[in-house]
Amino acid sequence: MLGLAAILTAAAAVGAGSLSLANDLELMLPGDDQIRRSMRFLRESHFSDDVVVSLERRSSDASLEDLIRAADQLERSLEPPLVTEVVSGVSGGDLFEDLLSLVKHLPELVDEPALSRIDARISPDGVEESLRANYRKLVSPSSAFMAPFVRSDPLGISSELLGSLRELSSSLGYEVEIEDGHFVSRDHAHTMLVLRTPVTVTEVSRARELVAYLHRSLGELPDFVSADIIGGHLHSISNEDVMRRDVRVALSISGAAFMLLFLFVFRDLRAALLFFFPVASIVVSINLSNLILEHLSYFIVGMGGVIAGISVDYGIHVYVAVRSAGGRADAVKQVAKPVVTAALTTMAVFAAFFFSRVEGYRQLALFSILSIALSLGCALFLLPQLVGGSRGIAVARAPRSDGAGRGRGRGGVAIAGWAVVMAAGVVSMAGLRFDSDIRKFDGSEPYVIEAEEKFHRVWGGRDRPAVLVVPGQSLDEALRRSRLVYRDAVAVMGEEGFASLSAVWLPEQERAENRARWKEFWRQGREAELRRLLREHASAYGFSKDAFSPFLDDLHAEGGGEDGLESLGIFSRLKERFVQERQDGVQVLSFFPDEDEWVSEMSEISERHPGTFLVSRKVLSRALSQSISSEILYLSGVAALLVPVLAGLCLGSVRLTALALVPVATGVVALLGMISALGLSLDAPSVISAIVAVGLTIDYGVFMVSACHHRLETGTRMAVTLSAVTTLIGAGALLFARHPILFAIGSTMTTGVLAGYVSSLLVVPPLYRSLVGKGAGAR
Amino acid sequence: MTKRRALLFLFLLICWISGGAASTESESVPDPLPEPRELLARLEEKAAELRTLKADFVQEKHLAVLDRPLVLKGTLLMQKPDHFSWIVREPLGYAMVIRGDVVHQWNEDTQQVDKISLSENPLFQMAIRQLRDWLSGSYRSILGDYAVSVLGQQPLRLQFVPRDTAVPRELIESVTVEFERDERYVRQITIVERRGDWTLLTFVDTLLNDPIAPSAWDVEQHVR
Repeated sequence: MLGLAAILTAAAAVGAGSLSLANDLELMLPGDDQIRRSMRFLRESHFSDDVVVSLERRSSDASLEDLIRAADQLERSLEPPLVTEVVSGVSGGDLFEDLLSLVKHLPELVDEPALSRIDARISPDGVEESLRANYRKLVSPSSAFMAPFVRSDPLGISSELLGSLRELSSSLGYEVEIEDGHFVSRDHAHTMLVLRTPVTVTEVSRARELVAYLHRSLGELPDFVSADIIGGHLHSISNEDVMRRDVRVALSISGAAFMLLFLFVFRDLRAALLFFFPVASIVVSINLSNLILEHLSYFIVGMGGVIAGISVDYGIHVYVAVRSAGGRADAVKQVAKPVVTAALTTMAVFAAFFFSRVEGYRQLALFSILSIALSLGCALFLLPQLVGGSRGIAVARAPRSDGAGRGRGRGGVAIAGWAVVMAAGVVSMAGLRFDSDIRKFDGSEPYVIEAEEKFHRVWGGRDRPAVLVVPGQSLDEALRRSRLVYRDAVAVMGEEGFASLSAVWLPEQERAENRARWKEFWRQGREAELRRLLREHASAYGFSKDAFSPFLDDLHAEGGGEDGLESLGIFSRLKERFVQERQDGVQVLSFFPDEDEWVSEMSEISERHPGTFLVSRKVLSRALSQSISSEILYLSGVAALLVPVLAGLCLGSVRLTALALVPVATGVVALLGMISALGLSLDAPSVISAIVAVGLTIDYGVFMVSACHHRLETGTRMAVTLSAVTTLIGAGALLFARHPILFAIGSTMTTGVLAGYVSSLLVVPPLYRSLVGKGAGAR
Repeated sequence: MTKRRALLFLFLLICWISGGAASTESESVPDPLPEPRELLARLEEKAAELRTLKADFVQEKHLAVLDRPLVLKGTLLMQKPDHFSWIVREPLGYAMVIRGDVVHQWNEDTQQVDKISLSENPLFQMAIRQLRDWLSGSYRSILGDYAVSVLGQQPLRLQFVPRDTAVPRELIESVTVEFERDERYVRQITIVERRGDWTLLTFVDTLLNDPIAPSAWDVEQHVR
């Protein structure tokens, strides 16, 4: 039997080692539509997958030009498949050609109000003014650039459009200057390259490959250049490294501590089975859970040590009972009911998580219940057969308590002390705050955070703009809807505050209407009039007869179609920033400052345009806070209902149930009071831990009440102590975790379980004597 | 004269003629052109002494959009490291003053002073940079974008052709720079553009290292 269990466990261990576990923070977040939509947007948006390399000129002997040449060298060395594109700046030459080509698209981009303005210029004064302005352009030192525009657009029709394009194309949201076509910092000591990669931030193994590739390329740079790599990939890699290390450490510490405990306390090799069965249950549960859930979360597996600590309790009580009975395996019958009651109440606590909207919590529910159920089965059916017999220590029987005299006095002190501690805890809880800032869930190592801090000091961009997302089945549909939103938005905050593709890229229907309007406009005699006026006035400035033929000859050209616009590099680059293509359609993005006033205004506009939504850090944070708060109340209510009901059903008495809940109340007040007293905030991981602590401490209460009520002589005190110690080992191991989530879980659970244990031993027996019976006590 | 004397005379005559031709050829073969990099290093050394420059200029722009050359006359001021002033007096009043990254422009038509940031206007930045590069004397730094060849030595004339990967290649076909005899500053620049337009810029009355009053960098001073 043991051999079979060992083989099964070994197979499960091999299977668990090869599993691909999910490292997605979203699993731990509420299932609120707004939150998930925002998180999904951030996860799927390509700019969250971009990697930025910031190069610094470390030596004053090297010039900015030297740094730019080094950046060019790096750019040339980066190739597919890991890096598909490098954006190092805005080339003046490329921009010039694009802007010149853009003039050909005027017929589809010029709207009715603009045509009215053109109409006003087709007059002697208007043409004279235009020609004078063109002449001034030719006088300036930049005439080499201006001359082609003068020929292609003598009336300056494109000036407004060109201004908008220049603004949209130059900005990435950072404080950059353009020097020699490259992004440089204001201090002229840094240059930046933005790398496009097909590797998403959630593909950790490929992210490692990408970063290693970048480091190899950066190693070829001259000595005077230092580089920082910035991007979500670094966070994913670092988080996984930290969690892997934490999981290894936690399982190693808890495993070693369990072994030491049972070897030196029980001095019985068979005590190792108490450790073996919970671990085996965990390992098998990982495989089963992953089979059912497809992707079990790393966070949940990391709680394996805690679950092992919970599950070992059942084996402890069975073992102590059997040893107390001199090795009789049938002694398990005496503790079977409290053990099953304890397991059921603990499972009830975890079952409450099934009702959660957070997928990670539901995973925890399944994983925990499977583990506990397997451990319970092993404890009741396998363990007695394996640890029975005369070998091993005999557990000494605790002296009877008479429930009066000295015992009663000590009990009174304990109750009084407990009341004071509870009062202090409740008072401390008054200052409890809830912190839903998801950034604290990021366990990235300091080098990642420091590099980003340095990056933002140099390049700004710390305050990322909010995004208004307009979806569509196709690009044209999204553009059409975006155009409507754009009109409402600029009416509220003006064009400067609202960066939108819709300022320059019109939907096809509008472009078709513009083309038709343009043709009709010139057919109504205006072309002839313009030609006449140009002939009359142009020669005074020395313009040649065919000076403006590039414009006049193309007046009736088509210059339309979506492909036409996208063939321009400037629009292609804008599309990369402002358009996201997804499997189910397209999203057009517009950016505005992430400030409460504008978020509020844009929220109202978004509500008037169904299907659109905002992505704002501030809004996300508030939504998370509200959602998690309601989740806490909901789950707490479910657990608060399930646990007493189940305990009451098993114990059969309201008073006994109330007594069994004393450790629960003590544990909850202690951990919440501790969090508040230390100036910390309650967060999602702490909530999970608190609920788990409830499941544990109810066990202590059930065992102590059962022992008092049924006058059990099964070494309950020792068993409860060992149970608490093993749980504290599991939770305490997480105190060594670097990841903030795992550390929060460990510290919360350690406090709650310790307080519950102490109260179960010191407070429950005297309270039982006071409220239920005299002269009773646990042994 | 005997036949032998006649042949000797003829032989000597032929030798004399050949010797004269040889010496003439050797006088007409020019010295080999120096290596461009060495020349540029020499020019940079001389330009390093330059702190300020003031010169009148005549700029002829031969543009396809015009039926006759546009001739501008004005004054150029330059003070290292980053002050540059371009004042046009004829045919239209125009002033451009650059201090660091900021450009102030004025013209007599609008009478308005416009402020432009070079870092936010890549096209304008490229245009200004071309002019400053040729006048500043930092030619070796230009070699990354341009291939240089020596067209002549007296006076020194260099031709710069944009490389395929260079940003200016979209607009510029070649730039020819002619130096004064002492090679301390530029006398003439010819810029040929890809579209066929070309510009001839000639500097006269050049003053080197003459003090320039701080007020000269205020565009308001040039408003009329």
